Amino acid sequence: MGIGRNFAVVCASNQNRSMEAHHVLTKCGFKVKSYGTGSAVRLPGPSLDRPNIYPFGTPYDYMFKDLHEKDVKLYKQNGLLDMLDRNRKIKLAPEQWYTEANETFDVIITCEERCFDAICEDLTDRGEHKNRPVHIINIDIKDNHEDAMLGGRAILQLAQMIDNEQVTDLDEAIPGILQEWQEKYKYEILHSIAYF
Amino acid sequence: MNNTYVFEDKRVSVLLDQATEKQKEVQTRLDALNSFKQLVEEQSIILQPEILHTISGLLRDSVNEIKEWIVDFLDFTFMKIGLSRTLRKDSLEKVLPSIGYIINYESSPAIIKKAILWNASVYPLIFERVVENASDSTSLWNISLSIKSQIMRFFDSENTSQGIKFCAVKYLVTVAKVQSRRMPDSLGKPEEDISLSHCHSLHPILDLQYLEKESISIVNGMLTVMRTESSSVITAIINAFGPLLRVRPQYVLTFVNHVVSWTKIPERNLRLSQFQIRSVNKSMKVQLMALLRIHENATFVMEILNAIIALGGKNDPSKFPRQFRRHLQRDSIEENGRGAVQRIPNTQQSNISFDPSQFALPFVVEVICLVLKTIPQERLNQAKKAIQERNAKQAALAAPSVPQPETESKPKVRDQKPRDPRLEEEEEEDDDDEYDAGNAIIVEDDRLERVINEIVQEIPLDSDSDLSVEMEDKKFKYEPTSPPYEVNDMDIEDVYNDDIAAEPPKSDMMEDITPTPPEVESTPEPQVVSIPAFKFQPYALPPPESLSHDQSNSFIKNAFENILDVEAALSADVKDKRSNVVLTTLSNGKRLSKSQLHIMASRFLTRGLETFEDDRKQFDDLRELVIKFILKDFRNKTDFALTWLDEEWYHDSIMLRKDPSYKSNYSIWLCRLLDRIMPALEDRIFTQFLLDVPELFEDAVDRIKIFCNDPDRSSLGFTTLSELIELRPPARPFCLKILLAYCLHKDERPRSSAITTANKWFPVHPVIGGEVESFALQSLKQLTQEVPPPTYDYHYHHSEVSELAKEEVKDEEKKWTQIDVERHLDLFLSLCAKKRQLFEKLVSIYIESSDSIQKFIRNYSQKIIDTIGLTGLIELFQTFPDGAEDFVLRLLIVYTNKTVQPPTQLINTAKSVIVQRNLDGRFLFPIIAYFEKEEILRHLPKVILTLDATEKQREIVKKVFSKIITISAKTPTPLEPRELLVFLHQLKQNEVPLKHSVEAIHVCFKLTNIFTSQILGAVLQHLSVQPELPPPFMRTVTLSVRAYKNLSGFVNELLLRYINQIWQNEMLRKGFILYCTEYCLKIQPNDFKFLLRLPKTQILDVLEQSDSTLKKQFRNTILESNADQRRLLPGYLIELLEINN
Repeated sequence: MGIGRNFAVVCASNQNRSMEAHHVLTKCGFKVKSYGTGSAVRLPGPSLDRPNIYPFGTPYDYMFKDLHEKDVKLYKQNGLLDMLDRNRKIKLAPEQWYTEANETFDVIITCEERCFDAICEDLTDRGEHKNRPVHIINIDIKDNHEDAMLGGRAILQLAQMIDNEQVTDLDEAIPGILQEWQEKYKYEILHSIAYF
Repeated sequence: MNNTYVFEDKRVSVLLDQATEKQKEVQTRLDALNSFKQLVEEQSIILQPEILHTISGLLRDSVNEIKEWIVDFLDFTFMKIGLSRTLRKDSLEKVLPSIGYIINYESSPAIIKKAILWNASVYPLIFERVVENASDSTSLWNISLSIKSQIMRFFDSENTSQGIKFCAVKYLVTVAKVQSRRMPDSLGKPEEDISLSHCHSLHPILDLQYLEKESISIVNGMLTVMRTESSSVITAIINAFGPLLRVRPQYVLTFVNHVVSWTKIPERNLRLSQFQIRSVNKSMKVQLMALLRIHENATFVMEILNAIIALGGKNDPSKFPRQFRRHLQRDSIEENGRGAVQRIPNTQQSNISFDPSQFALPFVVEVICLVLKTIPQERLNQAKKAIQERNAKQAALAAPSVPQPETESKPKVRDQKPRDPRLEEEEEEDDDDEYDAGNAIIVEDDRLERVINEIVQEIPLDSDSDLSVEMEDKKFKYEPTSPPYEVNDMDIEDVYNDDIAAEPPKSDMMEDITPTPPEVESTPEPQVVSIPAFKFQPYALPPPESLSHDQSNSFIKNAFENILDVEAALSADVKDKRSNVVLTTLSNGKRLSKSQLHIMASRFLTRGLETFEDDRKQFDDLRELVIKFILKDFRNKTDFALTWLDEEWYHDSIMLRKDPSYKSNYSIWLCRLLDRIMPALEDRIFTQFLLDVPELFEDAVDRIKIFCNDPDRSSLGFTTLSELIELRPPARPFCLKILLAYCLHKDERPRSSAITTANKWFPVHPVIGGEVESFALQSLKQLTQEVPPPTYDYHYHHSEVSELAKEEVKDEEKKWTQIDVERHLDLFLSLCAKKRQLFEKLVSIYIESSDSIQKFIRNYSQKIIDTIGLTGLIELFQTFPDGAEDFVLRLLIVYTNKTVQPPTQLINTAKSVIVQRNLDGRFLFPIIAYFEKEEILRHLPKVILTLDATEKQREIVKKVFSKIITISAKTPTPLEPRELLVFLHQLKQNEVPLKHSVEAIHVCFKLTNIFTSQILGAVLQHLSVQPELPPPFMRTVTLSVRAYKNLSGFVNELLLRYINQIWQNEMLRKGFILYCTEYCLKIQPNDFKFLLRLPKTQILDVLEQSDSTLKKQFRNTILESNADQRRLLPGYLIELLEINN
């Protein structure tokens, strides 16, 4: 249970990696939201050239039913249905960073370098008028169920290190936290200060 | 003030009292503050400067929670609840001293951080306030200076905590932004961008030059500390700079130079960890990439690009704007070259064996040159001689037409990537003129070849075949049209003779990799087999066994599947690497690279097979196999797909030469492949693919419409079209046709994307620019037609159904709509922005077109004015032809509505043109308010003459009056409402007919908030002392009293005083009678005191008017009154009213 710092977790489609992290962080009582930076939500389809594409904002429940109807065996087997089932219990629909993220956060964790780039650039594009500093941390996590689960745990650990009573001045403490965390987890990370 | 407000006010003071009582518990005080905040949220009107003063005083409290609450609250009031800008500016002076106290003396970092950030938010406000009120802002400015210098100290000090530095960075960047000038290429809205440009140069408090210098030194100072600061602070600086560089492009170059020098700081490795350096590099790259996109055409883009390259790391070319990609490749090669030179000593010392084919060619050349330098001249000469001798020997052995290796002809430098093989073919023919027909091998550079030869002789380097493979690759890749089987290929040099394609796929190679069915060996491949496997020796294979038709077909299929299997099995290991990586070594010691495998498969499928109509289906199955194979991983198999399509195309061209009725395979299979890959693609791979395929035709390109119509992928569609138009001239006509059609699309999004794309060629590109222009003019001209031209078919139809679909599209006759007009104008306007002379065309089209079109064009004025800007408007005003008056007027109105104060230049031009051309009063509406007082009065009659007794026109004139009075109030000699109304009374009747001036006076009375009873009283007073009462005087009197009953006492006295003068003028007399009637009947019903005070003549005139209502009413009143009162009446009245005593 944290002391109330605001987290955002971001991946491309707001389905797998960011939702796994959203799931574990919420479960442990952190204030967290999750977003995707892609142009649409893409889920694997029957073949590589036929992905299932949904616009952001389509409820997880709808996707679940849609895929269930299309090919229940295939999507059960590749884990999509389980994932969507988990997601629909967490929130209504995948949210796109550019359109939905209107509040400010203390820490943004991205799961992929291009999401990190996208967030940094978007904050600049917004003009940084709110004058609120934010820590953006990128953790490269591969987009599959196992890696997402491991990544989710690593993010949880990081969140616990960031959001607790001992850390009164996060800005001062963050280099040490990241170093300590990196000794436990072998992820490639990036850390940057940006502004809302 | 009403009761509720007083009530609120009391609650406020009670809550504030509670909050300031220091003896109370902190929580109680915080509760009071929170309740106060709730009040503010409900009703922000209670936030007056004095209240904010009291609140901010709590910043000097001893309790941290209270102080933090207050800073948060100030942020809330100043930034979040939308308090008016004026109020916020007025409150600054009350709040800033306490904030200054916090910045200077506070010890809690959390509070200081918030206070600094609050300062970052309000610094533009402070500046604006000081600019506007020079007289009473000295102390405000001094406090803000002391805050600024303290925050600078925070930033400079080594002991400051990181968080405070992040905040200081943001503050200082804001300061740098406000204290610098806005440039013409700054982004964002000028009115939201507070800058030095807001302040005039002789401000008593602000020294602009000094402020600007300070801004520059802040920028330089912040960028310089990147050498010493922590990675977090550096990223904070870089990210805070992002918005600054968008609005202040003058700092981009400084920023870029610091980034470059950052990459050269050696000690950063000691100070920062690897991940921190990567984080900094990443932030720099993100900002630089954004800058590259924003300032695509600025002068400093090459510096940005170089900085990006200097930062190193992966650069995905597809993320760069197109024009930079070539530089990117070149530079990365140079970069490799530079890196390589430094690496050389290492390789020599350690003597590690390496595969030189892994290096880029320029690097290899550089290595060679370096090595050559170490060889004594003598030995070089010997080697050269030896080679010459050997060449001479070989020349004698070979065919008579042997080329001279030492040929003096200049090195033939070829394009890196020929875009259209047809062009290539033409070039090829030219080459044939220069070179011997048998000598078709292309040598990239003769000198290079010589150098390599010599090295091969001199250096014991096991690399000869690798180098030659690489050379050979180039030859194949760039020259799909050269027949690979010329015997003379072999004759040039031993070193160059391993032409893989000339080798049949030997089974031993297959055995190295996958077990191969023995049938492969006996696969009949007539062309391949006929090639001599070894040169100079007559050698012939035994005649092939004859197989049955089915048998041979199944062999072919097997063989082909095997090739694909090999590719699939091998490419897993070498994914993402260059295609000329050596896959395996064949039994004869030659090496097979991936691209050669592709060529082999493709040629096998095309030229390798003799096509009879019967077999066509089977070969189609094979092609289907290829497509499936490619589709498994299109991204990594584009090379293969291109090689295959190149071969198909070439094969088609050979076949067509032989048999003109031959049905082309290329077009069929290109379309099939496109149809299958398009649904899933959404990145630049598609564009690159279309750029690289050997030939494009209309049907294939038509598919791009699918992308253009898809909102998610439309940008891909338009970039693809753009690149095809620019880089593939043969495909240009039909691609341009699609793009231009989208410039007329009815939806704004695709339309504007298409226009942006088309516009970039104008006017620089000599051919495309011209076509775009003529299309824009043609669309413009269509506005003069009666009905809009039929809409273009924006949907892609498979060729089979297209006929049917076209019929559906046939439009029924339709009329022009606003949208139609706008879409026909948009492209043209975007061109106008670059070439203003074009605008005349629009004006002439406007004159020619029908009334309804003219109206639509006028409705689009906002966009038009955005395009031509002030200069364009002024020019237009000076030159517009007759018939365009309404249009010009509308533009003027739109422009002036948008600006707070139209530029004097515009007003002066408009003024002189109005006089010169004697334009009517409507032209004065938007600008007259900005004239000098005398001029306003001089031009006002024209405005009044536009009144035509319609309510609409009155409303317009009313607005003009109101504008005149409010705007001129700010000038040194204001035109006061009183003066205006007096002026309206004194208009000369030969200039303005009385009817109009009366109407204008009526209009004044509609401005009730301006013409108050005091002003009306003053006007009447003023008019009455003139030598002669103006004709509309009585009308004004009536209207004034009707509006303000309380004026009646004053007015009546006035009238009694001038009653004789009134009676001398018929008009005034009639006016008086009407007034008197209205006064006694309506304004003060049944009050006849005023009437009775009139002299006898006047009373009689009033009572004996044609309308007898007043008389009857008066009589009734008298009758109802008692006898005493009646007795006071003069006799003539009793008589007139026929009252019997």
